[in-house]
Amino acid sequence: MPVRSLIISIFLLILLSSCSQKTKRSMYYWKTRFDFKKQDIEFLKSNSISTLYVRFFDLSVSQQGTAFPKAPLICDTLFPADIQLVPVVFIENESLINISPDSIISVAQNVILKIETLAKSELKVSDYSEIQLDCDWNKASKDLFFSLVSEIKKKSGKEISVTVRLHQLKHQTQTGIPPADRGVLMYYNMGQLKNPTEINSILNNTIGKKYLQNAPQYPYELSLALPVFSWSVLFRNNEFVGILNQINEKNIDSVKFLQKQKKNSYLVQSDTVFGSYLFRYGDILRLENITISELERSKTFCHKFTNHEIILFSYSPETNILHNENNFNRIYNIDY
Amino acid sequence: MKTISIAFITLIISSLLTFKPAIACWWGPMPEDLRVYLFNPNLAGHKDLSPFYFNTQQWNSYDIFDWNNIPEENIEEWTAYFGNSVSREAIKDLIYRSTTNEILKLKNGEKSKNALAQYLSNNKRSDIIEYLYFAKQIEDLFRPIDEWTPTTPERKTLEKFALIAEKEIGKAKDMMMKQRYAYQSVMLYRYANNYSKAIDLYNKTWEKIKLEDVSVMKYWALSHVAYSQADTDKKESQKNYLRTFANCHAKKFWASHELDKEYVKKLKEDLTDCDLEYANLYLAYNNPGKAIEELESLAESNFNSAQFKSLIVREINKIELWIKTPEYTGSNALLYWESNEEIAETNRKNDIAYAAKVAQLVEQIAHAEGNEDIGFYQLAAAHLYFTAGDANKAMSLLNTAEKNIKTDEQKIQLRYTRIVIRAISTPKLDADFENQIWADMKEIVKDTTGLKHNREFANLMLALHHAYHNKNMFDRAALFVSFDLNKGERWETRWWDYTSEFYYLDKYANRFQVENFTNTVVSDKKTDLEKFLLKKKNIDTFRYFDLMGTMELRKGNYEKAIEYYHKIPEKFWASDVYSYKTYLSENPFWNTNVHFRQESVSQDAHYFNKEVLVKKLLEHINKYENETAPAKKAELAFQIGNVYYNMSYFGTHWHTTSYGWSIYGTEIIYTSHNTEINENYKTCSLALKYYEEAVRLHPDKNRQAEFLFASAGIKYETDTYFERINYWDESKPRKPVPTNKFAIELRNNYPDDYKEFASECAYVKNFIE
Repeated sequence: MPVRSLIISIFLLILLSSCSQKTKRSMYYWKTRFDFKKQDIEFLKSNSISTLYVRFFDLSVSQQGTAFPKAPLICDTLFPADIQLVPVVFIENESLINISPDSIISVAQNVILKIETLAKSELKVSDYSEIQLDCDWNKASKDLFFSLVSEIKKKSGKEISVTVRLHQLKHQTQTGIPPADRGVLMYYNMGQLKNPTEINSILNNTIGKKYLQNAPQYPYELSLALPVFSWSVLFRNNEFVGILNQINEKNIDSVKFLQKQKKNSYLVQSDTVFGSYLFRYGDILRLENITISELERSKTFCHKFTNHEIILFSYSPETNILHNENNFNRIYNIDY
Repeated sequence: MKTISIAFITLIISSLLTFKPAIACWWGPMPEDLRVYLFNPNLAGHKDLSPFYFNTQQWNSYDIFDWNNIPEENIEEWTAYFGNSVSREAIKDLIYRSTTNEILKLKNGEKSKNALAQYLSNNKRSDIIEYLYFAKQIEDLFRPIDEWTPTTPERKTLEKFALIAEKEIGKAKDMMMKQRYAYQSVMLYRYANNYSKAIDLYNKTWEKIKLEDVSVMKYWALSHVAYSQADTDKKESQKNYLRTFANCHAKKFWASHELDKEYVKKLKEDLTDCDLEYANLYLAYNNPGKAIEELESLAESNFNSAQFKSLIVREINKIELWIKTPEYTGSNALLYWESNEEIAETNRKNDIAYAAKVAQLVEQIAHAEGNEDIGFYQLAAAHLYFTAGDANKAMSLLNTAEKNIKTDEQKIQLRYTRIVIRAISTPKLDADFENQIWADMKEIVKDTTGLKHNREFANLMLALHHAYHNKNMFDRAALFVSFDLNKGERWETRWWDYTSEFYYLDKYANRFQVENFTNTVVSDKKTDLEKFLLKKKNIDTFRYFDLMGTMELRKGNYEKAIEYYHKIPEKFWASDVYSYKTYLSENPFWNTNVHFRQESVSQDAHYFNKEVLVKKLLEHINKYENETAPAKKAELAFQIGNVYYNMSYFGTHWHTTSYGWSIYGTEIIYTSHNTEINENYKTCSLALKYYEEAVRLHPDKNRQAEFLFASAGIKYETDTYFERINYWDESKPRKPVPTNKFAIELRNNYPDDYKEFASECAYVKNFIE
């Protein structure tokens, strides 16, 4: 082959390989019971999902300042082999302010030990290299949260990631940057859930875009978390009543007492007891679901700020909107 | 070259471009915060049922279960067992709060201060002490080391203890101890996953025990049996959970978590007698909607039971939620969907019809033979008739109930119901009416310590407020808003931000009503009711003079306004009560939006409280009217226009025509109902009128252009601000901006000035295009 052609070929090869970004495919697992059956393992494998971020427990703090784990994971099955585990601790921001700064060290130690116990004794996983801390910190809790992150990082010897909400990305100078190794940009739930005029509180790219516009880069890598769940929101006389996970995109059209109105709203046609709820004639149910095209738009808006990992929230076959491999591929493949 | 301030343009632009609709905070209220009820749920008759009182949340949620109020059937049994010779507190202390070590010391003969411990020692009940020690050891097996370290006892340890307990069953002195050891054994076998043993032992033990000897331990054990059967025999498991649910208050919550409602509905077809009754009971408790069918089926044999009565109370509270909550809180006031009013009215009619139907059922039950609590049912029926709007029937039944009610709580409830019946049936809410309601209210409030967290009383105040409000008696209605209780902790109050009698009166009342209210506050001849309502209030009457003066100011009655302002001491304006004290040194004759030449007006430090403002305004108007020199007259007109601009919604100096300056969407929520708000506030009509005069009068064309430019900017601001779409909803089209005659005149008649303005700020073109 002539040298010139060879050089061109090599150049093209390098160009092409640098263009095709391989996405790291991850998911969150956010249930109290870890019950992973064969079909669940197969699902992960067939969709090349390599990492599962599993909520291990919530960290709550009593009024008296005692920190304790809430709703720890109950393990009915072991963790699947060949999948990377990242334990996640959700930290209740509103109770964090009750913690005394002097107790941060002991709380950190307890958190680390609890994670270890659950991972090793329950899930039989001994080789996890990362811990994620999920907290929507604010001005009042910032210092405490950052101290906790720092302490857990120091004592655990693991890589620490934190969740970063859109407002924390946008207003970094005010909200601060936790002393973690990396983060996850939570690109969902940015809408106004209890506002009856809201179209979709789970994923509202109009709002998301506004946050991202002129937002500064984060000082460390951010993965991208996107939603793949749907729910419905019940309003009575324009007052928010509640969120209904039982009625979602998968089953709403089969619920007989609902009549579709404009866009994504449904009118309750008669007083009906469904599950444990009383639906009254005139109630409005707003179905919030996610479309693949909206998710693709989200990726486009966020790509400037995030790396090649996409974490879908969350693994839940009952509400998961991604029914087939094609949808998964569309979401996970970064194609700019 | 005129100096046109970029600042003016920038201010306009920045206010338009960065505007975000100040949407009211959507974090609350939650349905439970709004819920109105006037029928005391405690009338159910057994405090153990309090975790199952009706509320808008699902009561089978771990988060809302009242952990401090778990039923104490076990303690009740022990108390009765000791012949009431030991206090319940002492029993609770020893059984629940003592440590294993303390019981061990007791076992070893050491003395204790606890009354039950002393009783057991004195009466040589070593068998009970042994049992307590055994039970504490079992507790220790399950006790977590700390919040972070749960304990999972080993299976063989559990089996070992289960066997010990099983052997003790046979040796037990009496049924009390027998059943307690049996419970421990069944429970331990269950946790050891020895399900068949747990089931067998249960059956073996309790099939021999007579009904009158059955302890609540039977149902504690039965819940473990039901768990043991869950995987292998769902039907039997569900039946056992139903039996537990129906017969044991302490396990109701846990049983309901395990019960499958849809399964139970189908299972009913196979059930008979007691089991069918239990199923109906469970389904009734779990029915958030109209449960009259379940109540009818349970009524025949259950009307003397506390559970059935609690279901009646739940039904009343539900109906109150549907009818009274929207009625009193206006939670259906926001009509976003076009058909909502019609729907709300349809629901209201249906609910009222339902209330009447339930009232009839309850009235029938009241007359049922063998009914041991006729008064309760008559009271309940009366309340239901009130909720259904039938005041005559309600009062008639209430009078009958008064002869039959027995308990103090029922007597208090009777008074509540009588007050609200009177509120809806009395044509004139006059002094006689108030004397009548006070006669009942004073009995209710005798024990004031309970009032602070008495949600029903807060609701009663709300109901009375509503009654007066409906008759446009806003000054009297305000007294009930004043009542301290309704501004207590967040969960007690109906109203959120900016709520007090002050804002209520600003929103609804006229000046005379505010005056009446203020006079009541200061009067030393208050009625007993007024004294009660105002006793904790520290009402600042100067705020009301400010309000009344401002009401007159809005109407243009400047002299009257001055009269009120004159009553206000100087220190009021500088106090924290007056929200706009930072503006006292601002000059309202100066328009900070306009940096034109402002003759005879400087931005030097001044002092303008409202009295000074109105006096100076009158002086200016007087001077303006008498001024003959065109230029001076024009400048005076401009300054007067500035004052009116500053008194508008847009003015940044003086909020003289509204309080609680906040908007919801594009509505000014606190004055939208007040017919006395003037046009100037929203549209700067007076400001523009005087600016137009300034244009007309001033001989200097450049100055005319400047005045026109100021007018154009204000017109644009007022035309677009309240018509602005939801900023976040790009799907809604923007409405076209109305013609801005000032901008058009400026462009057409002052082309050079217009070009100059436009060259310095392109946004000027938006005034027209």
